[in-house]
Amino acid sequence: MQLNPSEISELIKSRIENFDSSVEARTEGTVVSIGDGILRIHGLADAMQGEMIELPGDTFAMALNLERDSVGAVVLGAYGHLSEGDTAKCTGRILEVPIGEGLLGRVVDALGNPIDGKGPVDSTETAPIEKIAPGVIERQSVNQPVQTGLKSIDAMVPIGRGQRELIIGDRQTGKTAVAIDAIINQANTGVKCIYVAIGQKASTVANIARKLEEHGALEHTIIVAASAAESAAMQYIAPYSGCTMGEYFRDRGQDALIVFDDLTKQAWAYRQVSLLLRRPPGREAYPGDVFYLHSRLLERASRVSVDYVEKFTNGEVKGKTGSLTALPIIETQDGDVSAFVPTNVISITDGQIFLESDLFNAGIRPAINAGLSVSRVGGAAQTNIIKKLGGGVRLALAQYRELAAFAQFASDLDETTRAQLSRGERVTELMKQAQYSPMSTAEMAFSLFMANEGYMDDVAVNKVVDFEAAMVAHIKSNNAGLLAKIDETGDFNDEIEAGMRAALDDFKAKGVF
Amino acid sequence: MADYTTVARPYARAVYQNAIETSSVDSWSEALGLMAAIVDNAEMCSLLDNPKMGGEQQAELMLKVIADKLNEQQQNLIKLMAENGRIKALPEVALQFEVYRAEAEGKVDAEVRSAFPLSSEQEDSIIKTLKAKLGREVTITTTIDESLIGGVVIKAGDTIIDGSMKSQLESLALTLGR
Repeated sequence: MQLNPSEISELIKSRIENFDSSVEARTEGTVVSIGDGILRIHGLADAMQGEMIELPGDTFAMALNLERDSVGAVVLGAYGHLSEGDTAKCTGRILEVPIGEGLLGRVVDALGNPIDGKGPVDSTETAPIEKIAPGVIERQSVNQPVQTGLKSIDAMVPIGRGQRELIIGDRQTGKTAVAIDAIINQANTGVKCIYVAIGQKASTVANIARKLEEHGALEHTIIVAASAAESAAMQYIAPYSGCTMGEYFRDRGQDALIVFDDLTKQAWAYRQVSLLLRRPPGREAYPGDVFYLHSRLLERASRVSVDYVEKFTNGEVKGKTGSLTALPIIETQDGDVSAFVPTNVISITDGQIFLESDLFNAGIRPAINAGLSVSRVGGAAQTNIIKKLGGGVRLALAQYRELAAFAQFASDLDETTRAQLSRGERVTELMKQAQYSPMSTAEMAFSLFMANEGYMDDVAVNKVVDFEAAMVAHIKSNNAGLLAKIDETGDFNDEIEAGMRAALDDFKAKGVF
Repeated sequence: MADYTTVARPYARAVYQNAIETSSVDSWSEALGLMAAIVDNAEMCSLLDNPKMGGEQQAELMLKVIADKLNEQQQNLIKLMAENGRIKALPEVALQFEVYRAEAEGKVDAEVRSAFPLSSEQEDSIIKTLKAKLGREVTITTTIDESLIGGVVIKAGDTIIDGSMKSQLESLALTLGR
């Protein structure tokens, strides 16, 4: 690209013209000690909790401990150039990040600075990273679904807009895959997504960004990354930054989905910061406020009422509710859900999707444990048709699990038991779904209907996945009208039922499979 | 300096209250200034830092130097602080004593650094503005600092009003560098 000197001079000129040269009285202090990214500053008598403190070399710190004669602060970013005796200035501002539509499609760090090499972020507004969640009056109950496009989730643990649904499991059980599929499925729903990567490898984040781009999902997604190489302070604040970016959409009557991947690492980062600040350690050496760390974050995911949105936008957006749905991820060690942080987050969220390595290794992917996974509010938000048809699946699986353990020792089984076992095997098989291939509501409805009505009972268990794929392809080419109708209304009535039955009979009769 | 702030606070407060009760603020101020100067003295410092020196010996040493200039209470302060092993906090006590005094008398000392010598009108206008801003009587001490290039830097307690050319150029450089 040719450099255009006049253009650049213009730019510099306008920047100089717009330079704010006003003089303000500020409080100043001296850095007394620095180590492991923790500063102790003498002076700064009127520093606020969470205030940004300006340090030499365009570096900022966040005040965390306000003591009688000193302030304990964490440096945000590199601190190699700081030394004892440096001056530290109050800025009078709580830590803020840029917000707005301009962030969509971008990869930013915990402070909102772009790290994807696509130039500056087009955003004029900023908002503090710590905000109080909407109150009781401002909320509305959850009654619209977030379609993840995964059969097993949408049918058995439905997620509503504004819900907090935990994804929990050991390493390598497909937690991130579930979240990424949910993001990809939002491409045509208008739900904006925020993916917060905490303490992950930079290469993993790059991979995720590329996968999202491949599936056309990056343009409605913001990626906030505090990779493993970044300071603990950045990893600690990243979820709050992401949440603030998500609240922008919620408060303006839109729907947003935020994934925190993962909060275990954030708790580790916070533990590190707290111990270095000499706060007393508690259970598992976490500080006393580790519950509040996650509860105040997840409480910000909510569905807000029409009045709230109207008041927030000064009447610009009318008659629209906003929502921020959270999918926090927690990594357990060897399936131990009773460790400190997992129990905390389980109790804060409105349900959990429990992923198991045994299931994963047995080839059941997504490896969702249907018995332990629950959704406490999602049922009210489920699409009518999935709600009607999904009930049978849950029941079949529950009966199957009970019988399967028991039937291992029995040689002679009666007809009903054998039927339940074979139905269960096929439903388990049907719940398998490949990564990056979300299904529409109608496709899902057909799969579930097929299982409930026994269309698969004569299909060999190892052929169920192929059978389903053939069925979907057949319906797509022959009954596109019905699919579109189901997707649009989401209703289940006699007419639709008859239509589905006819379509499936046709598929079986033609013997395509 | 910062290390002794917390330690010095109760001493400074006690001394100030005593000074008010016995209406001897000036004499205390003078005495504390003297003590602080002695403790800060390099030779004295190395003697006081000697680990073989006990509290009693420290007090004896201090009193040998300045006993004739202090009244009984002031001598007692030295003995008490030496006994508690806090003799090195004396300069900070003196500093905080002056802060209490300035606060009670509604005064504040401001340091004004400027690139060029200030005219008396300029000084007056700075005093007037600061008085309105801080709500106290202001006394200023001026120093010349050519590295500022232009403008003034006012420092009153923890508050800094930085109107120097240097800091403006620095922040402009940061803005352009972004």
